[in-house]
Amino acid sequence: MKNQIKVQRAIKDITQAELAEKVNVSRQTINAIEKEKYAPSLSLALKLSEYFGISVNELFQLEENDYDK
Amino acid sequence: MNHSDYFLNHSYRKYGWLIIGLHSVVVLFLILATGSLNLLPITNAGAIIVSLFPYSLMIGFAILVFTEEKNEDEMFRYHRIRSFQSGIIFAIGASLLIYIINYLISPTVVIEGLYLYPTNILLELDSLPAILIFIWVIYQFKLFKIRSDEESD
Repeated sequence: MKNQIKVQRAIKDITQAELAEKVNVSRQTINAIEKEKYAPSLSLALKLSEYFGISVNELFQLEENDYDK
Repeated sequence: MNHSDYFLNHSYRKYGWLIIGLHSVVVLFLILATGSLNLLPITNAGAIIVSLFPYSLMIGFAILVFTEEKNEDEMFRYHRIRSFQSGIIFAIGASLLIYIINYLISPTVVIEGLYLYPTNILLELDSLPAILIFIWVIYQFKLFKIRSDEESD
């Protein structure tokens, strides 16, 4: 699953630690999501999309192989 | 009921280490006492080690495995719960592997103890510390990978 968190973070000019604090998770979690090592829960995805002011669909996109799972 | 209902606060983790530490010191002392110090007859020390072995280790590792991280969030919780799953699967796989290797090395021994061998590894209390150690090691390896994957902003 691809995501636009790094891009959105750059637009907002905030660090991983600052974003982590805003959505109440650890910096490691933000880093793992950015590197596509961890798929966030629905509530965290909603928190992130609300913070960036874009929809969940814009923030997270399924890839071809995600449909096979 | 959420997952954290099953787990202890991080502050309890030190007691897990304390119990494991005490266990190691006692076992080391007993080995020394029977060996170079020659204070105890080997049968007495052996009995104490055998009776101590599963319980104190099991309690210590259970505390380690069931305590949360300092600032635990959903990702750490996810990996901790996954490590339970992997630990149990790994323990079952390892015990079956031991069974097969034993069979290949000495089929007669396994046939003689056929009714004992699989239950001995999978079901007896002695296997619980091993499963808890597997869970702990898998979880720590996962944490190590998360930390080593980190990149700066």
